[in-house]
Amino acid sequence: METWIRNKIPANFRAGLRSLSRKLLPWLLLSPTLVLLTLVISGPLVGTLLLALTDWNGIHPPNFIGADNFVKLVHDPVFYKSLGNNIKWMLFFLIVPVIMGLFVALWVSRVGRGQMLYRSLLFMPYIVSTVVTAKIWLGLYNPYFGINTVLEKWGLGFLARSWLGDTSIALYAVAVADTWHFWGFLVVLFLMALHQLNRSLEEAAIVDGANKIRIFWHIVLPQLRPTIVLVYMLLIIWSFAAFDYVFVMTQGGPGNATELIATYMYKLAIYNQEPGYASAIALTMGIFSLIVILGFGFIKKKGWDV
Amino acid sequence: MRRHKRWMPVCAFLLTLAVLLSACVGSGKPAAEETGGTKTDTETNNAGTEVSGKSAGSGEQIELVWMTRPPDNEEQEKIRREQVIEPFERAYPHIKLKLVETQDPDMLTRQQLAAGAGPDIIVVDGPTTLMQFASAGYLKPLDEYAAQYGWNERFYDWALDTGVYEDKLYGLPGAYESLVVWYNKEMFQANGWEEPKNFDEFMRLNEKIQQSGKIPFAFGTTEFRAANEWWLSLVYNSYLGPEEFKKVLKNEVPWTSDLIKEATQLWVDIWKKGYINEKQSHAISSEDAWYLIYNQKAAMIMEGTWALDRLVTNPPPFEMDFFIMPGWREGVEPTLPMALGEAIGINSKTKYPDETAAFIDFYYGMERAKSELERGTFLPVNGLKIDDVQVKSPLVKKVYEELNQAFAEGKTGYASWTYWPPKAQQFLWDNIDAVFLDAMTVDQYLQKAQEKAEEDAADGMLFRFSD
Repeated sequence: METWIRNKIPANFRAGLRSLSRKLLPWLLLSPTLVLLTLVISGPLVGTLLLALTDWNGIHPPNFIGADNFVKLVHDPVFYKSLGNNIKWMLFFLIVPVIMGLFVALWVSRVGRGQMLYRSLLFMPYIVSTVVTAKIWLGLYNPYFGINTVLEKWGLGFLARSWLGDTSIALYAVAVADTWHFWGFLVVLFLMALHQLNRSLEEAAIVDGANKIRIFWHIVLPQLRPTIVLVYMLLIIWSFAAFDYVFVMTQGGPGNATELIATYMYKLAIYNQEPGYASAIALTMGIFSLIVILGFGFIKKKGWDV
Repeated sequence: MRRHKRWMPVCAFLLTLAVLLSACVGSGKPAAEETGGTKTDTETNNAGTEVSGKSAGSGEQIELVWMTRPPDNEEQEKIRREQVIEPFERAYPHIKLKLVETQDPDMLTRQQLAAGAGPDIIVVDGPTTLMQFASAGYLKPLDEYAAQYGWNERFYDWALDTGVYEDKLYGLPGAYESLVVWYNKEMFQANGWEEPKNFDEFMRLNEKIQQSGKIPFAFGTTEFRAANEWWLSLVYNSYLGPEEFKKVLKNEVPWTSDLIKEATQLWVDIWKKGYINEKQSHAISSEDAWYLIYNQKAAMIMEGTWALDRLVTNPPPFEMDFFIMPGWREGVEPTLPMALGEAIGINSKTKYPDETAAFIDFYYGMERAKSELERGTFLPVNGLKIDDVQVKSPLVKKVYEELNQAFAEGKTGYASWTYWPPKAQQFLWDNIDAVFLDAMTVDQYLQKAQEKAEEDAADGMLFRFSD
C-alpha cells in the first residue's frame, strides 16, 4: 500500500503533505489546551468585560451603563486606598521574603549533611493551608493571649502592639503571616538555582583572592538573575491578586487599613451586590497585570536573561 | 502502532471537547426538574390538608433540593435528620429531600437563580434577600398555599408581613431574634453591680466595671466584621426610639440628621473610653470575645438571643443573665431591635411547587416550632406556649417572655439584617472602625451612609413597612 502511494502521488505533493502535517501537529497537540483556555479563560473574561459595562446587582437584569463604572472607579477613595495597600504589600514582598529566602538558601546550600532536613523544615509552612496559618497568626496577634503576653513576660512590654488593631501596622502584620507561609517556596526556588551555578567561576574568583561578598555580588547574583526576575514577576502579579490572608485575618479592616483590591472587589460583588462595578475593578487590575507581563517581555527583548 | 500514535492528538482533542460539552449540558434547570419523576399518592400533611399532586404525575419518587447551612455540631445535625428530614420523608413517602449544605446559601442561591436554576426550597438569611428574589420574579407567590395551609393564622402578623411584596406573599418567616446584653450574674452580685435602668446608670456601670480591672463589654469582629451591625442596631434603636428610627429607614429623615449624629457620636465616645473591649474589638474575633466572658475577664457581652444556643449547650461555669438595653435618650423606652434570622420561599421554576409548599409547611409547623423553642430558637408561630415544652434552661423561658412582652407593649425596634437598606447597612458596619480610629469623621461616615441609602431607595431596596 505504501509503495503504491509512493508511486502514485508525486514527490513534491508528498513533501507538501509532510510539511503541512509538521505544521499542523503542534496545533493539534495544543488543541485540548486551547479549547480549555478558550472556554475557561476567555468565557469569564468576555463575561467580566460585558458586566463591567452594566449596573448588574446580581439579581435583576443588567442595564447597559457604558463606562460609568470606570468613571466611578476614578472617584472612589477606597479603590485608591486599596491600590496603595497593594503597592505597599508588593514592596514588602519584593524585599522581605526575597532577601530572607535568598540568604537562607545560600546558607542551606552550604550545608553538607542534613540539607534535605533543612529544606523540608523550611518548606513545611508552605504546605499548611492558608486558613490554618491565618488562624495560627490570629492567635499570635491576639492582645489577650498572643505574643504581647510573651513580650510582657520577658520585660519587653514596650514592644507590645495592637498588631491587627493599629491602622499603621495591621497591613504589615498580615503580610508577615503570609510571608511565614510563603518564603519557604522562595528558599526552594533559590536553592534550585544555586545548585545550577557554574562553580568554576567561583573557584576562579577564590584563586584570584576575591572575598565572599565580592563573590556573591559579582559571581553568584548575576547567575541568579533569571530566577530573581522570575520571582519578582510572580510576586508583582501575586501581590495584586492577594486576598486570602487579609480576608481571613482582618476582612480589610480596621477602617480599610488592610483593604486590598481583591478583598474590595469581593465585598463589592458579594456584600454590596455590585458585581458590575467589581468587574470594572477586576478588568483594571487585569490590565495592570498585563502591563507588568509586557514590561518583563520588553526587558527580555532588551537582552536581559529572564 | 506508529500510525495509531498519529491519531492520538486528534482523539485527545475530541475527548476533551466531548468532556467539556457534556459539562456544559444539563444545568440551567431548577434542581427538581433534573431529577424528573412523578407521584401518584396524595398524603395528609401536618395541617390536615392534602398535597394535591397537581404538579407531579404518577408513579415515581421525586426529589426536592433544600440548600442550607451545615449544622454547627453533631447534635444539630442529629436534630435536623431526626426532627426534619426523616419525619417529613415518612409523612410524604414519595418525596426525597436532597440536602445541599453550603456556608453561604444566600450567595449560591442567588447565583443559581440568576442562571435560571436554583434549589426548589429557597432558604435565605432573612426577608430582605427573599424580597429581592421576589422582585426579580424568582419566587412563586404563596397566597394559595397560605389559604390552603392556614399560614395567615399560624404566623405573627408582623413576621408574615415581611414576606409580602406588591401585595403578594412570597416568603414565610423563620426564627425571630433580638439583641440583649448578656452578663455574668455572679460577677455582678459579687461587686454589687446592678442592671442599668437608664443611660446614666449604664455609663456608671461601665465605669465601675472598668475601674475593677474587668472589661465592661467583650466584643470582637475580626472574622465577622458584620458583627458591628449588632451594636449599630442597638445604638440607633436605643437612642432614636423605634418610631423616629423608622423614619430614617423609610428615607423620610436622612442618616445625616441630628439624632443619628448624636447617637453615632455617643457610641464612638463609648468605644473610645475603652468600654467596648478596651478599644480592641477590631483586633479580636467573636470567639475571642466569648473566651473573655467564659474566663471572667469581661463582665458583659452584647449579642443576639441566638447566644442562648451556646449558653444552653455549652454553659459557662457561672450563672449568666441578660438585660434589655435602656433607652439612651430622655423619653426613649428600652427597645428590642427585632429581626428574622431566616426566610423561606419556593423557586418559581420548581416542577414541584405543591410538594415544596408541603415541606415549608412542615418545616415551620407547630411540632418543629415546639422542638426549636426547647433550645431557645423562637419561630413566630401563634399559639406556641412556653409551658407546653420542656425548655433546657430557665434563660430560654426568660428571653421568650421578655420578647413576647416587648411585642405586647410595642417596644420593638428594627435590626439591620431585616429592616435596613442593604447598601447603607453594609457601609455602616464596614466603616465604623474607621470612625473609631479617627480615619473618618462622624459627618463623613453618615454622609456616605445617606448616599448609599439613596442608592438603595433608587433600587427599590428600602424595607416596605406596612402601615
